[in-house]
Amino acid sequence: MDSLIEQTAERIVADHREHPRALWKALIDNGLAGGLTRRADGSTDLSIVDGFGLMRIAAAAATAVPFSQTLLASWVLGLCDTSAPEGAGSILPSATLRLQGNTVDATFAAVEFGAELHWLACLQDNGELLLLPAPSSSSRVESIHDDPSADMIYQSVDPLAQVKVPPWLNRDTLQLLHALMRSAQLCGAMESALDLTVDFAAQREQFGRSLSKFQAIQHMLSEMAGEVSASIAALDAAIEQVGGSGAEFLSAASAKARASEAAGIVGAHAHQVHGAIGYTQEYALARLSRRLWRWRDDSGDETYWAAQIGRSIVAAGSPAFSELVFGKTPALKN
Amino acid sequence: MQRFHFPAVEASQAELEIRARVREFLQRERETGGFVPRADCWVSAPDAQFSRKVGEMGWLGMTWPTQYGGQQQSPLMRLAVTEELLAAGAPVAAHWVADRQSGPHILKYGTEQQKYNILPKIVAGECFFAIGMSEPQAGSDLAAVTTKAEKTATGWRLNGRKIWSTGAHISSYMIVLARTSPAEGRNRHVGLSQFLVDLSLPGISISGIEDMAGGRHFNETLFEDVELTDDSLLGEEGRGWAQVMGELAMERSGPERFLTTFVLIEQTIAAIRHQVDFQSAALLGRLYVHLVSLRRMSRGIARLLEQGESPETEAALVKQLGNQFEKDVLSHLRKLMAALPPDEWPNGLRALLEAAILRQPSATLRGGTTEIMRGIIARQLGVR
Ligand SMILES: Cc1cc2nc3c(=O)[nH]c(=O)nc-3n(C[C@H](O)[C@H](O)[C@H](O)COP(=O)(O)OP(=O)(O)OC[C@H]3O[C@@H](n4cnc5c(N)ncnc54)[C@H](O)[C@@H]3O)c2cc1C
Repeated sequence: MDSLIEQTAERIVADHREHPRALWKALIDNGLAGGLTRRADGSTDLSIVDGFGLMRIAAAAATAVPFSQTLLASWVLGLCDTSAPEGAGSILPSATLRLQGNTVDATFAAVEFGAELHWLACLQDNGELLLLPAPSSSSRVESIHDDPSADMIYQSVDPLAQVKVPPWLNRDTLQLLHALMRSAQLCGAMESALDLTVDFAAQREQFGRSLSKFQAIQHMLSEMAGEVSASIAALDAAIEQVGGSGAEFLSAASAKARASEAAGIVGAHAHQVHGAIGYTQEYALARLSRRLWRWRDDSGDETYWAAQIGRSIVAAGSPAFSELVFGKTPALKN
Repeated sequence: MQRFHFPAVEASQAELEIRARVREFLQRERETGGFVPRADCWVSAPDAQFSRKVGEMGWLGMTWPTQYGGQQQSPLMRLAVTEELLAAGAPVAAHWVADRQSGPHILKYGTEQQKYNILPKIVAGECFFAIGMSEPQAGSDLAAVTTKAEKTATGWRLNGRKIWSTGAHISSYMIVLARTSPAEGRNRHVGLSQFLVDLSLPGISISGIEDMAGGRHFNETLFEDVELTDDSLLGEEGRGWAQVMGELAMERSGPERFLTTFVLIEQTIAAIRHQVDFQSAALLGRLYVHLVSLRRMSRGIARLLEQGESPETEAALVKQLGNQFEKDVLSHLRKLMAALPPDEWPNGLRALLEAAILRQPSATLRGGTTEIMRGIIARQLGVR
């Protein structure tokens, strides 16, 4: 991603991580939250590569704002030749929603950041996308989670727009994009958990030396580093393939499968190294690990995606397997 | 903070073309009886004739300068070739060490004379190398080597014993790590040097050690008053430790740490493709996921090498993950094949799987054990 954008984002999340309201304002003011919103000439200020990079940075800082959701939804709207409204938004698949005359009556259950959203894009099964304003009312879902969910209730609401979507966009391709968003967030949170754990191990002393002098601890840290590195490799590969028709199936599915698997190991080791302090509400690890364990299952866990991939491999047949892994080779001329 | 760096590398057209050429060559070889695919082929399957053919195709020493017979190709082109050879289970063991590490090591530290004498022969697939690091009392603790080289009027006199040297019995040379002056107190990294030892010299006896998979691939090599000429010294006297660390980085950085079971995956997919349920699909998919992320990292390492960097820790990471992956390959393939009644297994697959299982314990030992890799990674994390 662009290094200036990276630095700006890192500074902003570091300055405001404890204050979601101030953080959100700074993300808006600095043009980051609206960075993937389509301009009148069809362009966006940031690239989608920057977008996924920002999701990773925001997740690393355990920020509790609908930033990633807004970026993704704005970008998808742009691909439907539509500019996202101002403020926070999200995109959902919705099979059940129907227009009653010109107005919408619907309830969306347990939408992440539902009470904070200014708009909601609902992908319909008929190939249309309904852009809705903030709900008539919302009610928070009680949970231990850091990113609050709410039921969004719409009563006789006029949609902001009704948009025809491009042929590639459907439930499955939207799920894949959500999975890739989660992969980016998982990678960010895992990097942060590793950093926190390395620092903690160096500073905490038992038996007269720092924990990091114990080989058992070193080995857990090394294993975490391997998992994080492999997840980032898979994520980068998937992001490179993202384009005007969404994510590419094999790479995006691999990214989510790899990161979801890694999240289990990274979370478990991070807690083991931290001892009891890591198990407290107060200490910074839990807000990362709670998200790791939620995000690894959200939008399909590692087994779900691995099975999807496995099926497509089998369908392609065994000679094609090496092509899937190493790339398709050209026909030779001579 | 990102602590490890694996740059992105797009596949070039040239790379895809050379892959196509290697595949074509391999298919021809398979069809004409040139080889039968083997698991762990870079250790288990030496075939001097095959290595010569690979040399004739121009696929050995590809990255080296032209004056030594190379083609100055990028490490990514070499990676494309090695991946294809490994994926096919081709008998590449004879030349593997020479092409992967000994040649590049000589290129880096050798004299002009050494380079002109040896590198063109490696390129031709006619000169093989063995690694002379381990000794009976020096395994992971490599600095404990006691093999000794003493200065004489004409060169050096070598005495000692090396063990586990893969392919020494078919090699022309061994690069031997030996002590040339005592350690300084607790600092054992000083006083070590590397020698380019012609294995046909008097005083050298090589005896094979059979491995548990039934192959005679590694050896014990005894050096008794072996007289070495002056120009046998490789690199600088006393700098052997630093040199050997560089050599190990090359040894660990390649795709042989995760592709030795690829032939098995391919054959298993063909065998079970009509009996794939959800669980099997998930196992298969998981192998793919791990394989492509390892490949991505491995390509990043090739790019770092191209840029002249020494990605020692990155190599340790890939080796550690790759070794674990290969264990998973075998356990997953066993589960996948369980879908078929034993008498419906295709010809040869059982034998291939059994051979791979018997080779499995070696993967996490050779080239540095998992525990040693983890220590290297931990050091990079700043906790050692
Ligand atoms: C198939 C094969 C081919 C080989 N080919 C070659 C070759 O061509 N040339 C060559 O020189 N060598 C070769 N080797 C030797 C290889 O490099 C050694 O086996 C390896 O370095 C480990 O040494 P060791 O076997 O003596 O085990 P040891 O060092 O005795 O280790 C035994 C166990 O103790 C663990 N251990 C050791 N030290 C530590 C530590 N500090 N912390 C935690 N755990 C530790 C190890 O991880 C391992 O699990 C080969 C080995 C194999 C299996």
